[in-house]
Amino acid sequence: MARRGAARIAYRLTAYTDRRYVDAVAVQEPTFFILTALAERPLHGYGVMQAVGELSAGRLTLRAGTLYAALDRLTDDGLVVVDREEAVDGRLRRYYRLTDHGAAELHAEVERLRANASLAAARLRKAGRLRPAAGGVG
Amino acid sequence: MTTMDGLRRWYRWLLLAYPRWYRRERGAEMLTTLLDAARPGQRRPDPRDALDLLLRGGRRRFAVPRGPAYPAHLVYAVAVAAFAGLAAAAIAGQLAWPVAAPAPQPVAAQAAADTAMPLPASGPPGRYDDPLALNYGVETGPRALRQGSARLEYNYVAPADRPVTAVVEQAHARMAAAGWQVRTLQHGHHVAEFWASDGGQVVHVRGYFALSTVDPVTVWVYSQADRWMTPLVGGAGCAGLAAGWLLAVWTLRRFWLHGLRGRLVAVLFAAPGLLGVGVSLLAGAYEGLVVGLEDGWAPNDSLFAAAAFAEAGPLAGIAVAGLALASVVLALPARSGPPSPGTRERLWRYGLWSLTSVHLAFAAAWGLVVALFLAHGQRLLDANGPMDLIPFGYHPMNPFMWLYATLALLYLFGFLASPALLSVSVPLLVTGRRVARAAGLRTAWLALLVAAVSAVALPIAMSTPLGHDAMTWWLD
Repeated sequence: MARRGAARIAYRLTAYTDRRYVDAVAVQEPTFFILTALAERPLHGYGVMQAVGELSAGRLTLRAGTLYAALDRLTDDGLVVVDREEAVDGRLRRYYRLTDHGAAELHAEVERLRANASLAAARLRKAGRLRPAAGGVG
Repeated sequence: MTTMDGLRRWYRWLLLAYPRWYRRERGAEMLTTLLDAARPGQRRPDPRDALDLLLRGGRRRFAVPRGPAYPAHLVYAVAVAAFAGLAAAAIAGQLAWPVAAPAPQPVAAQAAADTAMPLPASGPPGRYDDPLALNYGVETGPRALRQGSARLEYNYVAPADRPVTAVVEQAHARMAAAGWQVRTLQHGHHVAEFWASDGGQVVHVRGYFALSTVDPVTVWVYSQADRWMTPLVGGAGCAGLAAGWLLAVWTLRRFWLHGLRGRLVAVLFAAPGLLGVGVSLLAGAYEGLVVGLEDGWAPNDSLFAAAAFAEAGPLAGIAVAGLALASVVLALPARSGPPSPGTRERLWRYGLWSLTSVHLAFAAAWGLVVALFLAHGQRLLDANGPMDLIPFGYHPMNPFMWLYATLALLYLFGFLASPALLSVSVPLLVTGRRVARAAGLRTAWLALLVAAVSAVALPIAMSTPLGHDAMTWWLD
C-alpha cells in the first residue's frame, strides 16, 4: 500500500513536464485517441474522425457531436488549438493541432498506461501466466 | 434539390439543438464535418448521429462556462435555477389554486350544512380562506379528503336539553343516512367532531362542550381540490428550474464578454438580488421541511413555494429585480477586442470607489436610522414601530416601501458585513497607497480611508446608548 502511494507520488513529481503541471488522471479513450490523432499533424474535424477510427482499428466511431464536445474541452484545457482555417468549395474546415501542453499530457498518459501495463505483466509473469503475444507487453 | 442539399438542410435543423452563439462559432465547421462524413447518396442523417447532435446540443445549452471561476459559476447557476423553480412553482400554485379548489357554492354548502345540522344558524355563514397556512395540524383534517382552503362556516348553539355530543352524534348519523362518506366520530377534550365527504364537497362538524354557558356547534363546508394541482405545480417548478439554469448560463457567458465596467455594474445589481435569492431559498427550504415532515400530502401543500415567497416578502422582489437588472445590463452589447492598456488602473479605480461606496452606504443607512429615531422614534415608540414612517403604508406597490426595505437591508447588512468588508479595504489601503499615487488615484484612496474609518466607527456607534436605542426601535 505504502509502496503504491510512494509510486503515485513519484509519478506525480515526474508529471511536471514543460514547466506545466500535467494531471495524471486517466483520460477517456476517445480523448486519448483524439490527442493521438493530432500528435502527428494538424487535422480537421473529419480527419480526426477518420484517424480515430483507424487508430482504434474501427473499434471507436466518433460522431460529430461527441468530437466537437471533446475538442471544446481540450481547447478550454489548452491541450489543442486551432491551427488554421480553410474554405474549400464554400465549406469551412478548421484544422486543430496539439499544443506542447497537450503533447505533455499525452506523454503522461502514455507513461501511465505503460506503467499500468508493466505492472500487470509483472504480476502475470510472477504467477507464470504470461503468454507471449505478438507485440506483447512486458 | 440535390441529395446533399437535403442532407445539409437536415443537419442545419439538427444543429439548432445548439445555442445560437455556439452555432455562430462552430456551426459552419460542424456542418462541413457532418457532410464530409456522409455516405455517398445519403439522404437523411443517421439516427445515431441525429441523437448525438440533439443530446450534445442540449448539454451545450445547459453547460456552465468553465474557467478558474467554475465553482462560483456552479453555485450561481444552482441558486438562480432553484430560485426560478421556486418562483415558477409559487406563481403556478397561486394561479391554479382558486381553480383547483374553488370556494364552495353557497346553495350547495347550505344544503350540506342543513343535512348535518337541522338547527337555526346563529347568523349568516362566514367565509374564510387561508391557502398558505400549511400543516396546521388536525385542523386540516384527513389528507385523503383533499379539502380546499376556502370554506363557509355555519355556527349553531346546541339545544339546552341535549348534550352537544349527542347533537354531533345525530349529525354524524344523518350524514351517513344521506349517503355521505363519514369518518369516525372523535371525542376529544371538550370537543366532539367528525369529517364527511360527498360529490366534491367536504364537511367538518365540531361541537364544544363544557367551555361556557352555551355549547356551540360549527359546521364548515369545503369544496374538494382537484388532483392535478400537485403535478401542475411540480411541472411548473421543473420548467422554472430549467429556465433559471439557462438564464444563469447565459448571464455567466455574457458576464465574461463584458469589460470591467459592465461586470461591476452587473455585480452591483446582482449582489442584492442574490441576497434575496438566498433568503427566498431558505424560506423555501423551511416551508418544504414543514410540508415534508407532516403526515400525508394535503392539496395546499403544493403551495409551499408560494408560502415561502410570502415569507420572504420584499426580499423576493429584490431578488427578482436585482437579477432582472443584472441580466439587462449583461444583455447590452459587450466590448470586443483585447482589453485596453489602462485596465489595471481602471481596476484600481473601480475597486477603490466601489469599496468606498459600500462602506459609506452602510454608514449612511446607520446615520439615517439614528436621525429617524431622533426625529420620530420617541413618538412612535408605543406604536407599531418604524414601519409607520412609510407614507401610504406597507405595500409592495408602494415605492416608499422599497426605499424602506433598502434602508433596512443596508442597516442590518452593514452591521454584519462591515467587519468582513474591512478585511478587504484595509489590505487594499496598505498595499495600494503607492499604486494609487502613481495612477493618480490619491482622492479615491483617501475616500476609502475615510470610509474604512466610518466602518470602524460603526460598531462603536452601535454600542452607544443612542445607537442601542435606535437599533432596538428599528428592530422592533
